[in-house]
Amino acid sequence: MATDPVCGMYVSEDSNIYSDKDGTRYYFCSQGCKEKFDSPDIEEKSLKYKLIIAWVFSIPLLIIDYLFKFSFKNYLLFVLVLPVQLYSGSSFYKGAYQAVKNKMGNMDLLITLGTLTAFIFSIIITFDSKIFPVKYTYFDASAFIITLILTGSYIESLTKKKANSSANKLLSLLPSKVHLYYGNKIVDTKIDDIKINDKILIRPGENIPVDGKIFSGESEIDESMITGEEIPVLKKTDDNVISGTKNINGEISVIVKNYGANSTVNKIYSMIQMASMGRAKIQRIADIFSSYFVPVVLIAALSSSIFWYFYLRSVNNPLYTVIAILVFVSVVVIACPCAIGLAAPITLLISSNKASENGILIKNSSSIDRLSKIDTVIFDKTGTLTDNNPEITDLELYYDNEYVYSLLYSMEIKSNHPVAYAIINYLKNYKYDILNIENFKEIPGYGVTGYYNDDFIEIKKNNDKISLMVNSKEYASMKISYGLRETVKNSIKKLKKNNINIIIVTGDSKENAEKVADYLDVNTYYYDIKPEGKSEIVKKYQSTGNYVMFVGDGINDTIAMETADVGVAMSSGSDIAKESGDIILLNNDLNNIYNMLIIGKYTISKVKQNIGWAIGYNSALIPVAAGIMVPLLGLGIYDVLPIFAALAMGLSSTTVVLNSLRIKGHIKNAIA
Amino acid sequence: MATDPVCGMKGNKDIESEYKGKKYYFCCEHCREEFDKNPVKYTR
Repeated sequence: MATDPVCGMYVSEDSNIYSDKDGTRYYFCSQGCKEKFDSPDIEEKSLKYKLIIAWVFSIPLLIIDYLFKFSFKNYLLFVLVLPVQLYSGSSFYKGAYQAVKNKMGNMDLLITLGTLTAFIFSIIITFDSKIFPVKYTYFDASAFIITLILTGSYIESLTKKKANSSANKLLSLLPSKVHLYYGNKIVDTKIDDIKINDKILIRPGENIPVDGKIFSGESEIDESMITGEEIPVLKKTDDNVISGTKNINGEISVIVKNYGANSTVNKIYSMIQMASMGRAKIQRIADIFSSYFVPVVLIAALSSSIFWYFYLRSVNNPLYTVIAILVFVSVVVIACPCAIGLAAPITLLISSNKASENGILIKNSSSIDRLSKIDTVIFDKTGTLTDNNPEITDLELYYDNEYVYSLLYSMEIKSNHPVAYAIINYLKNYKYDILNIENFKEIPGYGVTGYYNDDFIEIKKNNDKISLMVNSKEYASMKISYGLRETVKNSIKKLKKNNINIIIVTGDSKENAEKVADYLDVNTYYYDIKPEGKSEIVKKYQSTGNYVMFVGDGINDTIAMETADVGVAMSSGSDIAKESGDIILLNNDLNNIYNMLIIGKYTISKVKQNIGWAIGYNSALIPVAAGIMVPLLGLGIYDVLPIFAALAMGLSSTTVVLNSLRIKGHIKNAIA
Repeated sequence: MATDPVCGMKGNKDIESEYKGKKYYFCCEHCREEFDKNPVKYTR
């Protein structure tokens, strides 16, 4: 099942609405989403032109309408309103048409009804003065409804761009040109023109444009933008480099492994984007409200309009049709629910950008609600609390040395497990042969198995040791030691201080688990736990009403992370998109666990605030538009009420957007 | 209209699952599988 990258809906891969970009196929729920994806800049530019045209014609329209009096005034106003009505307002009509076609209501429909009613009403007054008992038109209202609401949309799009700054900063790390090896020469070419397995040169001081492997040269690389690690890493032949990182001081030649949309930096960018499109549970309240809102508003607008029609007629007021129409226009415009629709997505976009600045990548935004409720954090020990790079100590051999080294090397070279790396690393100084291992298997939580010359070989955990077994006979044993990560103690202390229940689980021995738990002052710990067992422990706490976060290293903790209310994966820096978990920790700073909880709480409370505010605002202003103030201010308020309604509409969206922006400061202060 | 408890989208009447005597509807098979793995996560 694919996800629409614009609206976040699930789309079947049979869908014929798709777009190919940078070698990846994206599927869309509708043509509209596809257009937005294909050309976001054109969309923004067109909004800008529409807005300029709207203001250029609306201002003189307003001035002439209120300050001048001459015989053909209504005709001139009609000419002035046409560009606004026909060009600037066109996107609303398109949206309204689609809503009607799909038998749904949306804000475009309400705006269209409001502006077209005022427009058509005014045309009738202009061209046939006998139908209604008034001489003045309401072109100013029909134009300003469009102008002010477009202004609100434009401010919204500018803010979104600003809110997206940290995501945009990531993409700006990619150079537009690369130095490509072409025969014996090096040519500069556009990044889009390269292919996988092409060879490129990266000079000192340049940003690395692709994910790839060094085949010649060495250099220190600043990976802080991806991993958060401040100290540069020395990379040599056969080491991998990550797109978006910076080559500091050496010339390196790299074989391209991933580029464009598939590169790490692009994947992180897409994830930040997707976070704002996901549907947090709280968003559903807004959705339900919006879905009922349009029909309710239409009923309210019609019934108040009918009320005024009959009431004014009964008291012999000649303006009964005019007021009835203006009431209808004012109510539909003032009640537009676009601020409610904005409340959650804009906040999620801002907070996911803020989070990514701190090295927290929110992959699944529907987990944000659950994140705000977390009261229990379960840490996997190895690779999470402790460093993922263990060292081999106390290797004891019970058989021919070289044969043992050869078996260890030939088995472990096939595995990606940290212990395998440690063994390979340890063997660097010894002599071994590469043997042909058959039927190799990696069993999570157990070890690796395989056959060599019909002998059954196992390298597995054996109490607190790792043993090499040949046909169940021990040929060698070793111990591994892990160091605790630097920030662990401080981070756990902070969480405990905030009443978060801390639990440690590990597949490791009792002795090792106890040591770490004692050091960190954690009372609850589980040892000798297989990967499936970890998820059972998560379920146990969930069943007693706790909201559980599981922090693991993403290799053998996948099930536990999926089971938990929020799964957090410690990233290795590359292959981020493949990591499981709702949230990915780009740097290994465990203080970010606390920061995450803060971000979750602030985000949800801001979304609630926005939704509450938008609903309250709309609900309070509908009665005003419907005429509750008439006994106090007289019917004269309807001269300005339609424009006031448009202004209120534009302001309500802008207020929601600005209020959401404040979350940046809140988060910054809270985690400082 | 039933909402898919996993992704928050509109549920499909044909894709359902039962938990503690209550029926839940999903937008797609993928969401139902997610739900069945650990219903507690999505029902509180």
